Amino acid sequence: MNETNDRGFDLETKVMLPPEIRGDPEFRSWVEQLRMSVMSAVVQVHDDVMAALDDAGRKVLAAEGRKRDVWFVTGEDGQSLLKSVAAIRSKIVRELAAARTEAPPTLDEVRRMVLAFHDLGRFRVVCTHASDVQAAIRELLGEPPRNRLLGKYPIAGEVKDYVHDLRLRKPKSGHRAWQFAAAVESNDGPVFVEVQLMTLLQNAWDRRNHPVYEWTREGKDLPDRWIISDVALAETLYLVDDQAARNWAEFVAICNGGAR
Amino acid sequence: MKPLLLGYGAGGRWFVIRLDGGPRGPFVERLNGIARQAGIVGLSVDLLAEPPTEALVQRLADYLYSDNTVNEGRLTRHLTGFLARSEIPHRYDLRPGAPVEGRDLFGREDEREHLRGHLEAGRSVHLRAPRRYGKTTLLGAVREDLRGRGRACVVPDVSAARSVVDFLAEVAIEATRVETLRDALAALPLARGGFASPDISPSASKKAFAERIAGDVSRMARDLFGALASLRAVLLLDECSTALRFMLPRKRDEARMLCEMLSDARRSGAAMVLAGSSGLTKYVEFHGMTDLVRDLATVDLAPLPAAQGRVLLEELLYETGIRPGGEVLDACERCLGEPVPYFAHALVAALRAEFDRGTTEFTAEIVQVAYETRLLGAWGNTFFRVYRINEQDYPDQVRPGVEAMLNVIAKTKAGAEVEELRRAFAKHVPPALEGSHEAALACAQEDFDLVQTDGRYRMRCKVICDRWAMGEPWLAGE
Ligand SMILES: Nc1ncnc2c1ncn2[C@@H]1O[C@H](COP(=O)(O)OP(=O)(O)O)[C@@H](O)[C@H]1O
Ligand SMILES: Nc1ncnc2c1ncn2[C@@H]1O[C@H](COP(=O)(O)OP(=O)(O)O)[C@@H](O)[C@H]1O
Ligand SMILES: [Mg+2]
Ligand SMILES: [Mg+2]
Repeated sequence: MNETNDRGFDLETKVMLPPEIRGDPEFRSWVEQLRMSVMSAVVQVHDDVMAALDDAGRKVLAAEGRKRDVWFVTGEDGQSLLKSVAAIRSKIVRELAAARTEAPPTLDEVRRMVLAFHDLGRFRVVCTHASDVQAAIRELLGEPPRNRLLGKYPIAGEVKDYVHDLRLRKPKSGHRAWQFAAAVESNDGPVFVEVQLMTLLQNAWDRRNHPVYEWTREGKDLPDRWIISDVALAETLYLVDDQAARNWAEFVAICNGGAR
Repeated sequence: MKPLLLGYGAGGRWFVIRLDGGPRGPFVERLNGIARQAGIVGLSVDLLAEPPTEALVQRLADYLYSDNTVNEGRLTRHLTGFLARSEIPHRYDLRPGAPVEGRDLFGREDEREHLRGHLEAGRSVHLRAPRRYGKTTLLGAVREDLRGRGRACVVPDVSAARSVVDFLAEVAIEATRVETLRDALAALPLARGGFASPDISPSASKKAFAERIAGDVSRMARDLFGALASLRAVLLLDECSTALRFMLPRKRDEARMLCEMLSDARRSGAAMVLAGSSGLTKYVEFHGMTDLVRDLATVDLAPLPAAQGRVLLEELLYETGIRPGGEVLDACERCLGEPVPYFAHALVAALRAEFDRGTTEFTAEIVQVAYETRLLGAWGNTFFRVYRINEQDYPDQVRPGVEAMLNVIAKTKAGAEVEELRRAFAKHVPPALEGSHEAALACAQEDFDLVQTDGRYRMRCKVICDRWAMGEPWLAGE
C-alpha cells in the first residue's frame, strides 16, 4: 500500500496550505475523509468498465477461437484506485506553487482543487496486444469514439493518444498509452477517474520507470544520453508490440484455416 | 469479475475487505461510513486491485446480513479490535454443552470482574446459577485471570465426593498437580512425600491417601487449607453443591462437617469459590447451617442481556455458515426469551442441523419449526438431561411435590401463585412433609431459575419452561 513520504514538501511550500491542514496528521485525516467520500463513485466507474470488458473479452475470444488473456483491469502505482495521500499532497503543492498567489488558499479552495484533479480516481486497462487496446477503446467509447465512457460518464477534455499523436508525445518521455478522464457524480459533486489503456509492454516499461518519472517531476536532472537511451527503450517496445500484433493476427488466421 | 480490496489501515496494520462481484459502489459507501464512525485514530483507506502483503483479508459476506445490508456492529467490532488492539476477529465455536474457553467465552465481563475483585480482596464467593448457565466456563476464565496475576488456582472435581475424606483427598491431590504448590504441600507432615503416587491410578492414589488421613481428618484439613492460604492459592470448587446435596439427606453430620471445614478454612485465610448448579444456599438454610455460609459473597449468573444474546446468536450463525437476518434473529430471540448462552448454542445447533439437510434460506418460520421439532423434540433431549428433576437430588419423598409445583409453574403462562403451589405440593408428599413446601420451592427456585413477579412464580428461561410444559415423564418423573 502507499506510503506517505514527504515528496515535494518543504517548509516553504507548507506555509501555502490553509492553517487547518498545515499539520501532517490534520492534512492526512482531512484527505482520508475526502478519499472515503469519493471512493464509491470511483468504484462505480471501475465496476462498469470491468463488466463491459468482461463481456467484450469473451467476444474477442469467441471471434478468434483461441484461449488467451485479453486484458485485465488494475489500479496504478501500488495498485490503488485512488490517488494516494502523499500524491495528492504533492500535486496540491505543485499546483499552488504554479499559481504563485500571495495568501494561502482557503480550505474550501484546496478541497475544490483536489476534487478537480483529473486523476483523483484512476485505473489501468492492460491489454495483451496493441490490437486489444483498440478493441477496448471501441468497447468503452463506441465506434466512432464519442465523448462519453460507456455512453454514461462524460469525458473531460480529449481522449489522449500518447502512442500515435505527435502533438502529445513528449520527446523526453517514454510514457505510451491511450487515456482519458471520465466524470462521475460523487457525494462531493463530480470527480474524475483517469482510465489508461496500454499494452503489457507499455505497462511493464511504466512500472519500471515510475521512480525515474518521479525524480524528474521533482525537477531533478538526468544526463541527455541517459534520457535518449531510455526513451529508445520504450520505442523499441513499440516495435515489438506492433510486430507481435501482426504475428498474432496471422496466427489466428492460420488456426482458422486461412492462408499459410 | 475480479475482486476489489477495500483496505483500512492504522498503526501499521491493514484490515482488508474483499469485495467480490459488482456493483460494489454502494457497499464501499456504507463500509466507509461505518469505518469513519468507528473513530479509529489515524485511519487511512485504500482501494486495491491486487492483494497487499501482510494484511488481514476478510470477505464482504462476513459483514452482511441475509438481506445484503451491512452488519455495522460486527464490522465495527472487528475493525476497531484489529486496528486498535491487533485482535484477530474471533469465530465463535459452536459448543452446546462443554464449557467454553479463551475467546469463545462471550460476555460475562461484569461477573468475571466481580469474582476476581472479591477473591483479590480475600473474600470467598458463592457463584450461583442453575445448571448450564456458564459457571464452569466462568471459573475457567477467572482461573486464567488469577494466574495472570501470579495466583495459583486449585480446581478439584468434588462433584463425586461422598464424604469429607473424599472431598479432602480430591482437593489435596489436585493441589499437588499445581506446579507452584507441589513442593510446599509435599512438606506437610501428613503428606509424607506426596499425596498421589505416580505408580498407581488416580483412584487408587485417592483411596490410599484417604485411608492414611482417615484418623486425622481435621489436622489434615487444617494443614492443607493453611498451606494453600499461605501460598495465596485460590480454591475453585465447581459442582460443590452436588456433593453437599448428596450428603445432606443421607449423612447430615458429614455434610455439616464439610461446611464447617470449609468455613474454618476461610477463616484461616483460604479464598474459595463455591459453585453450585443447584440451590445450595437455600438447601443449607433448610438444614439449619446458614451460619456456615454467611461469610460468602454471592455472584449470580443470569441470562445475558438481550442485546448481547442477539450478538452471540449472530456470531454463532456466521460460524455455522448461515448469514443471519433481522427476521431470523427476531425469531431466535422469541424462541429463547431471556437468552441463556447454552440455549443460544443449542438453538443454532438445531438450525445447523436444518442447514446440513439442505436449507439455505432461513425464515422466521423455519426457526420456529426447528425450535419446536428439534430443540423441544427428541433431537433436543440431550440438552435437557441436566434439568431432569432426578438430577437435582431432592429427598425422595419431597421430589414428587417439587415436580408437581414445577408442572404448575411451567403450565401457567401468567405465573403461579404461592398458594396454588402449596396445594400442588401438599397433594404429592406425605402429610408430615407438607410444611417443607417453602424450602422445596426455594431449592427449585435456584435449580430451575424461578423468578417472582407480583407474587407469582415463573421460569425465567423460556426454553426450560417450554420443555417442562410438555409434561414429558422422562424429564419430570422417573
Ligand atoms: N508512469 C509515468 N511515467 C511517465 N510519465 C507519466 C506516467 N504517468 C503519467 N505520465 C505522464 O505525466 C502526465 C501527468 O502524470 P501524473 O503523475 O498523473 O500527474 P498529474 O497528477 O499531473 O496527472 C500524464 O498525463 C502522462 O503524460
Ligand atoms: N460465557 C459464555 N459464552 C459462550 N457460551 C457459553 C458461556 N457460558 C456458557 N456457555 C454455553 O453454555 C454451556 C454450558 O456452560 P458451562 O460453563 O458448562 O455451564 P455450567 O458449569 O453452569 O453447567 C457451554 O457449553 C456453552 O455452550
Ligand atoms: Mg495522472
Ligand atoms: Mg459446570
